[in-house]
Amino acid sequence: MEQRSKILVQGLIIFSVLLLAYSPIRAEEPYKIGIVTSLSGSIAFLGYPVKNAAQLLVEEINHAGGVGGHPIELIVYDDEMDPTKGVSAFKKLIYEDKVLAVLGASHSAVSVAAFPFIEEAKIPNITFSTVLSASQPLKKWIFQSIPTVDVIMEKNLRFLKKRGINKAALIYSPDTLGLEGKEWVEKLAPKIGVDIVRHESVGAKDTDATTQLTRIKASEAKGIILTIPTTTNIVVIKNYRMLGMDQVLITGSGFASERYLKLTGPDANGVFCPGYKIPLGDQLPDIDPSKKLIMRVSKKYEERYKEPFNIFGGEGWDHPWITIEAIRKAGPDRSKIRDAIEQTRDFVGTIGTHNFSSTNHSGIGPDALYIMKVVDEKFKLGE
Amino acid sequence: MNRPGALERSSLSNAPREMFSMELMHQIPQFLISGIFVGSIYALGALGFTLIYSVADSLNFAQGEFMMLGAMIAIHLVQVLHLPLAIGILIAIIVTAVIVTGAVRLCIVPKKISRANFLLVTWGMAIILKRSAMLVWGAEPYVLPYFWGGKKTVTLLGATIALQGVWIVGVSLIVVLGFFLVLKFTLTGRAMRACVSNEVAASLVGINKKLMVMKTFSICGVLGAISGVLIAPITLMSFEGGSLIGLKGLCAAVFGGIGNSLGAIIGGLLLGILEALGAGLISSDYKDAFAFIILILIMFWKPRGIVGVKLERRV
Repeated sequence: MEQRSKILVQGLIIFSVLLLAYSPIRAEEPYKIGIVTSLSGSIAFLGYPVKNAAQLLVEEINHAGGVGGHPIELIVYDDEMDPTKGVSAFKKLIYEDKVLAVLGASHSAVSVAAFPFIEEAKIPNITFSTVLSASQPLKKWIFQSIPTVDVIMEKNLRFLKKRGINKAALIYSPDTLGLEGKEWVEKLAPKIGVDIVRHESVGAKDTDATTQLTRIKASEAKGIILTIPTTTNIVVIKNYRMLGMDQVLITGSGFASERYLKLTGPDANGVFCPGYKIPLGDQLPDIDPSKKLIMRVSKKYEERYKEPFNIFGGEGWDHPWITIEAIRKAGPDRSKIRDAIEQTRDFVGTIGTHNFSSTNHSGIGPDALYIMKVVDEKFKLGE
Repeated sequence: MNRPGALERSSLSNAPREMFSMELMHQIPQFLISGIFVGSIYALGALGFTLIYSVADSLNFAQGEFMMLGAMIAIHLVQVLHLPLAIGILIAIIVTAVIVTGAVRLCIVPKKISRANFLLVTWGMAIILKRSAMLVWGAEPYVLPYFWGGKKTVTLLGATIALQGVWIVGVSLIVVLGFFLVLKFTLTGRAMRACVSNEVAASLVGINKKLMVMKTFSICGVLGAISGVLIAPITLMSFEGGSLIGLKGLCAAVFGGIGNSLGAIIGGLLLGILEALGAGLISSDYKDAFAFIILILIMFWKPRGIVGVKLERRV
């Protein structure tokens, strides 16, 4: 029953896209692109914006005449956060629907599981996941274009350096997220010229971090970088205030949500946090290349879906767009499309400016992030 | 502020030679304070474990969930229904005790239950409580406002003390004292002690063991709820927030000698302090491991726990 309604929904999606793409002058065969994302399960909240934004983009492109007269056909499958289902969805897109390029998945485990099949099928793929193994080491057919942990840590370290802080402390959690962050801070800190004088670990379920913060308080560190789960950020911030510390504190990007500020209350005032461009929207400086586009797409998205446009919607907009523009340049040939994606330079999207090259398949750099400061329990541009 | 060994450090390793520097000596009061705060919560959890162990001769794995439940109900009453903090907390403690007693009435009391089954039933209870909390409140973490003056801090011997921490220690102390008074001077307390020392004799003089188990559980519910609302302002609480603290409470109970109330309290405080000292003086990377290693060593040295004297239990 469930399966059936799912097929029905998917069918309806395809049908409606086709319907919208249809126009009497256009008799050309459509160019198909496929998306695999999570539309059910605990991360469905990030799958839907991807799908919604991609549909909005495809409508807009088809309305403007498609790609050389060919309409774009978008096929979206749900991976249910299950790597097995995700891989079969990718296979279906590649071998049955015969799409020109595949996008996704959003869930790291699904994406990682699909990489070997995508490489084998020789089809271009831009993943939505932030998993580092997508672009390191470089895989011929896989691209990624979202701020990954290395980009975020570089941004944070550069921010401290810019404020004249040469000695900093790191708080990490003993899990994948924390250890990846720690590894990158270790790698990048000497290059940027920040000395990490202390590193402390705080577990994801720890309820107290005063001991670790006491060590940092007494050290020469003038700044603190956090790479811990979001809720642990809150514990650390509360303890940091309790101990009356004056070090500059910068959190991970996961903290950038007003929801968390409700939990910390005034304790978070003065704390810094790296943030994406999209939620900043109107606050972005006018010279920001993405600002106009973000404002336009946000408005359109909010009108249609009655919810704010976010970073996941940004992926749903930018990644298919890069792909469609590559198809425009290369024509309906998977290998040529791959080359065209790789040659994408200075592509201004909603997430930031995308730049790929034959040695770099991770298209987003630290310029896609802004450092925000918490002022009166709100995020404000902090630079 | 220059510490020896700080200059040539370029990598991320905390140089070992600073380990016992003067600087560090000044930090010890802070570590002790942190340890006592966390330890008080462990102690309340340990007391819950020990109580059930004494009366029912088995472990109650839902102790951490009682804590979560108390905190979540209090948060709901205060943040969603906007009740005053004190009233919200009071209602939360009562509601938790009622829910716990009801659950025990349903799951444990009706059947003659073996020790192993008791353990499994409480485990199941823990899962049900956790999942129900997730269904009601979602997976999001929540926070309770600070208690009166809880946000303020005072400095003592170079250590910063948050008044919320004083609340934690103070209330725990009152609860523990009250608990001992109940045990010593009330009929229920005496009956409970009778159950512990000789079950057969207790039943001969007409003490209903099942009723005792239920009463003990409701006390544990109250203990759990109190410790939950005490820490919710500083940490956060979500549906799974009780599990780890519950586990630490069990460790503390074993540490002090399970079945011994005084041991539970000493065990809890000691575990908290050891964790803080381990994280502060050695490395926070091994914080949890450090506490457990000490636990294992103590178990070798004194298998019945530090205060454990009661070996002559029935077989």
